[in-house]
Amino acid sequence: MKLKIWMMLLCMSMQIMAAEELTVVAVGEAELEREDIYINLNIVGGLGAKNAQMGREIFELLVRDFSFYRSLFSVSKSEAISINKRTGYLVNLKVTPSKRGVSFIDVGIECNDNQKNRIVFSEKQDVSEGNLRTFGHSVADSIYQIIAGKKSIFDSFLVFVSDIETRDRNFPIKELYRMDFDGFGKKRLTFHRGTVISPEISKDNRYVLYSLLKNEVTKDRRVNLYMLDLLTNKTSLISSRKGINSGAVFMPDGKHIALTLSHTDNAEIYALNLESGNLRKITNHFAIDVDPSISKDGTLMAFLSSRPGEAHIYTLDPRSVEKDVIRVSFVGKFNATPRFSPDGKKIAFASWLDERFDIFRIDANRKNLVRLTKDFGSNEDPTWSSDSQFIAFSSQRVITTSKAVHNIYIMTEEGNIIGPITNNFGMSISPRWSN
Amino acid sequence: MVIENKNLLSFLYLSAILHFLLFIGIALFSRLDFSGDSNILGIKQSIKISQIQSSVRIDVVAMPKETLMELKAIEKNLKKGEALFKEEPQEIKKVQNVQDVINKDDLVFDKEKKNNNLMSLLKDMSKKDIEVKKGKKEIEAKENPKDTGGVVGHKFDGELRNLVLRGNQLSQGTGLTGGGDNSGDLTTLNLYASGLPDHIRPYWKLPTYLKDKEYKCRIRIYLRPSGSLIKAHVFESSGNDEYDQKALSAVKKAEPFSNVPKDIQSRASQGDIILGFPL
Repeated sequence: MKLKIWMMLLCMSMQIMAAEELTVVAVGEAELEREDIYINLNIVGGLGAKNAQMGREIFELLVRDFSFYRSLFSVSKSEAISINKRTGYLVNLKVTPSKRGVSFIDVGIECNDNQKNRIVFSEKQDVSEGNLRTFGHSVADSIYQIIAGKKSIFDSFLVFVSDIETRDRNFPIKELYRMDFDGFGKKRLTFHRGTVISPEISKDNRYVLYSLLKNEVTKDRRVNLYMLDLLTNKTSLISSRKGINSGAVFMPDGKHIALTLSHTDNAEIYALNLESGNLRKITNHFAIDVDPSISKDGTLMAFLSSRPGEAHIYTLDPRSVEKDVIRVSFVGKFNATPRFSPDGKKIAFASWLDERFDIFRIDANRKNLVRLTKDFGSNEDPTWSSDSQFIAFSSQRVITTSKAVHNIYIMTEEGNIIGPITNNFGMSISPRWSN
Repeated sequence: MVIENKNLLSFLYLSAILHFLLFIGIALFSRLDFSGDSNILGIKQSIKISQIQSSVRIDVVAMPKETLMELKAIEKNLKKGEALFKEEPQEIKKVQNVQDVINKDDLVFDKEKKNNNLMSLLKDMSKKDIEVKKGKKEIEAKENPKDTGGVVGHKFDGELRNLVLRGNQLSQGTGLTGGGDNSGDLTTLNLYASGLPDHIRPYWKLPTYLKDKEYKCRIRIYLRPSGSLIKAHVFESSGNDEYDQKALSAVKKAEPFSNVPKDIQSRASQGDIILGFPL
């Protein structure tokens, strides 16, 4: 018995001593596996040329939409009665004549998970010419959500400022416009015949804040703040204090906005209650503080400040005055327009380098400063897509000494330029992406 | 007299037991971590992970001249350049894995405790000192460029260029503040293991619906001296079978790895290397 106890104790001690080190080595984050997407169009005989063209438009729209996510999908297109694939997803678009008449087409769309050989999406609808693009984007978004498990940008839109209506250069007319994320469906929103600046869309995508510099010659050229209701098309004056009333952004509660006011002779950022009109200071410094951008949860505000002598990016907690002020940027001759990504992790901004502006990106915790644009004209005014995967920006390219074009481009958040979404639409600037 | 002898015998027994308990006590305090849910009986001990930390300094140089896309292309080219030297002696290759810049995907060494049998314990006890001495000698030899035929210098140039291009980056270095450990104590096993992720990363891919889920799993690998895989299994599951299988598949596709240095061949074959996906 004693011997047994002795042996047990001996084994225990040996087991304890036998603990040894293993080496764990981190492989790191995985690369994204691109999914194959095959989009096939099947136009059934008996369809008129116009109706066949309508079907083709939906088909091209689907191809174009998925091609935006080039890091996620490898898109192939075909026109056949049926095709067989063993990997990826097959989106089959079948267009037949509609019973409702020639102004409609009957569109059937099925998405098949080829590996599992299972239909994951199916939709059949009579679509009119006026409804083509909305229907197409909606279908593309549904399929994207099934594959990626989250919402896409396909039904998002942008507002921007264009001078396309300008007839006399001494009286520039820069009005607010709206377009789908892919540049289609442009529509004029304001008719002030003045200069609209710094628009911003509310979290529910219903309202747009913007500042306006009127062309009238007055004693003090005020920049007043307006709000447009996209549902009713009604415009209301929000702030017309002395000096500037601009750079307004919605705060997450939807009841307050943060904006830059200079009625006390120094530009500071304030929170304004839209219902009561009450003002509360967010910044309080003798330096100039402008251009607020609020993170999604409302706990951080990025802004531009001249505190260090040059324009640099700072963050603070906007729920109080001058709370937790942190300087984010330390380099760059002139930084501008800091914009929080919707996930609150990154800040995109423009910075003056090599005699032009370019878009840069930095993590909210001040790490990983990266350059996104270069040798691509002068690039300003970044705005994030709602899924934080894309950045739209305005780009100016000098053609000749007297001519320059100013268009809006989209790139991935890594700086892979996808292309322009405005072309021959005057000087298109100040894009803001819907939420 | 007989009674006295009996007393003496019982005292001897008591003394032996007390000494034994004392021995166990020392072993316990020196080897075990009491912060976790350790089971003293050794049937199932919870794993203690102590991470080797390093101080980090932010080098603010200037706005980056190169774009992120350009930097990625340069990194790819650097990797291609490294591939040209794959035929160099083994020791030289391992030095190439020591990096100055800490990236998102950089290596983090963790230490874990495992239970071995009595035989391996005795074997290791007799080998450990020799291994450490050998390892140090190897590292010293590798740090001397004269002995390495200038290949290390080439790598250093590439990394320096990379660092300058990147501009504002985090870099491993002298900690101005903080409690980081900069001992840089990389054993031969660590050096060898640090080279494995470069082999595996090209095969480590996830579809979107898994990538955003923040799963983590660990794969334990057992290697032959030639670097080929004896076996690999899921050491810590992510909870998602598909994720675990993707990680396991990446390891299997990436093998064979480079030859295992002689002094760590037994440890590599016993599964002393664990790969973290992603950490």
